[in-house]
Amino acid sequence: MRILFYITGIAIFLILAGLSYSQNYATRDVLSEIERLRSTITQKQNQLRALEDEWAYLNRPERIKDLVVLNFQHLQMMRREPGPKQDFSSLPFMPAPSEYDPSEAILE
Amino acid sequence: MILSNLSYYAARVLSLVLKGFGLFLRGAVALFAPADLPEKKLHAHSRGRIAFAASCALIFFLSVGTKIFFTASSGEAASTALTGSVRTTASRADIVDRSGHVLATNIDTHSLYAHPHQLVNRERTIKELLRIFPDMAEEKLRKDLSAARKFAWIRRRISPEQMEAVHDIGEPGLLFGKREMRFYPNENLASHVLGGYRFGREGVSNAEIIGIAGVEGYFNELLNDVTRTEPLRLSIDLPTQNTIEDVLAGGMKMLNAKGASAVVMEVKSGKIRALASLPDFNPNDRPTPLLQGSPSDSPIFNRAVQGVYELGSVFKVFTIAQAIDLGLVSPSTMIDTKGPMKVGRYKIRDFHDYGDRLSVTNILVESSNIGTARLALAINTKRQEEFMRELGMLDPTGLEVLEAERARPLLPQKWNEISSMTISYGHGLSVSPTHLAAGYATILGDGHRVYPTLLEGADASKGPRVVGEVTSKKMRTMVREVVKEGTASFARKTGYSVGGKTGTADKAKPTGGYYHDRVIASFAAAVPADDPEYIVIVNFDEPVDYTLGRPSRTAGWTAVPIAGEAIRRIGPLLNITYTPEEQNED
Repeated sequence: MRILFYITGIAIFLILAGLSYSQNYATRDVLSEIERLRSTITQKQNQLRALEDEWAYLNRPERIKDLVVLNFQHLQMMRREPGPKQDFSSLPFMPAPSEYDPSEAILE
Repeated sequence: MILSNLSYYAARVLSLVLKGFGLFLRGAVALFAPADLPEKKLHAHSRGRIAFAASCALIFFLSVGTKIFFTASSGEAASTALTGSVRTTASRADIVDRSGHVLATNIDTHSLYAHPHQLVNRERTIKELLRIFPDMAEEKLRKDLSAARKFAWIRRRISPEQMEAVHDIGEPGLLFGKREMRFYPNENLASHVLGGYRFGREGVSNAEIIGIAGVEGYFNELLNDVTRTEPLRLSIDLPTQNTIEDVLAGGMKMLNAKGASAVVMEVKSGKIRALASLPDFNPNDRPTPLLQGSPSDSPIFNRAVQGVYELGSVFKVFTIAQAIDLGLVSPSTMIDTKGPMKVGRYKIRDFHDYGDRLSVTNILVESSNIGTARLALAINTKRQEEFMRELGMLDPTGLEVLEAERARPLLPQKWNEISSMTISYGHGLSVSPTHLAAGYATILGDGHRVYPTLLEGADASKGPRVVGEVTSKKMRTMVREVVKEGTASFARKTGYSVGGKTGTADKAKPTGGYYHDRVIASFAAAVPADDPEYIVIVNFDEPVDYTLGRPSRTAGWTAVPIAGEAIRRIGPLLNITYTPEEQNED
């Protein structure tokens, strides 16, 4: 009886030791995974920021104005004239793709 | 909670340790027991040894266990691993307009430096660098890269293409550092609001960005605060700003003007929707201040904020508002305007002779200096000065750009009766167009003092009352008359009911006296006139119009048509209440 008690005790001890050993390495793996993810996030954030900057640069009013003039034939966009109060949601959308093909503008 | 938990566990661990310590002592005693003992006692000793070994093991495991327990429960290790900041570089906060369009942001670039003592092929390196950067002086480069040196900057900022080219040299003595720089995607747009930056303390891998002008300068510390993640939101409306600059640039060309400025301000809140000054500059490459001549000749001079001018007749609105508010006159009171009016050795004249008498409304409509001077006499010097102070005309505006702090109005040395009269029609007191905008918003709004601001999230509480609401209403009707009948008739056909006052002031010579062929022409307008939503100030420096075949410089021919066009175009953008044409023309 006593021997059984010792054996189970040692077995539990060994199991626990094994568990904590594997837990240790599991933790390390997770930590390095976090590190990797974090650097990916930073990288993606930097990419996102660069894209946002580029977007802001491409959307600068001066360029938009030039594009509107260049593509007047297709877009027919006119300056808004004074009129009763309007919401931007009440403005008409761009013509549907079937009527308007951006590639045409490039080809010309 | 955590504390009580901790003390509970501490007590348990302590009791276990004490128990173990008792066993430990018994074991220790057993170790030194003599060998020739009776069997019973020997048996007891060996049990003691086992207990000793077991308690040693227990103490060891307990200490390891408690350590694990405390580490896990305090979450110390976890916090650094899991919630550590993912922002690697301490970036300066972005600046955005009221709807989030980016006005200023940061981009990553690289700097190029050298460790000359590590150069492998010096001659080739110099030759290649000169090929990549043709503007570099060979002499200086040769000196910088001499073997005696340990460190030399080559370029503070290089483009990705240049970096690629330098990489291709394959020289181990050339090194790149990471560097953030400020980027203004809209280039010249709103340049005077944003200001500019320079690099501060420089390291190899980063450089401090310091705002030196405009909003960048005013909010330098706030923008550089690393704990800040939100962008700085300005009240500027990008489309409006763009339109205003567009119209203003066109006007400046048409009128051959030296400079121009404009301010668009929301009446109720004092929020500035557009603030422009021409000529402007590209803040990505801010010009250096002039070393010679007047600073106002430089494109970095902000005419709308820094430029203090004698603005002329636009001030008549203030004088008349005060006279009405004090109950001295009503809009229909007749005032003697027989000219010229002599005060001491000083003569006050009108542009035309308007007859012997004019009503107060017509003094504003026809812009009579004599009539306004008479009102100033009735108001008296002290009350006028006090009123101007309440209106904010005697102090800096407090606008959130660095230049505003130093833009102090120029007051007469002695505020006597003569200066009081000249100030009544806008001479002898120099203020900036921003001052004027705030003053008009105060008088034509609802009479509460309006403080100009560039922040979208500015405090919306009302300032102290300057004039009564009734006065304010009467003034709105009167400035509407100026557009319908008077000097500002070119602002009639805008689609919006405009009310405003023109001002044409001879420019003061730096040597004293006034030029007769150089003027500052301004138009200060409120739209819509019956319940103003926006104040629009347009101001030209030395404009001339030749439409009539002869030069006309008055604001009615210069600032007014341009302001009218500006209002027509920003109206739809700012959703200003529309007044149909028929109603507009009655």
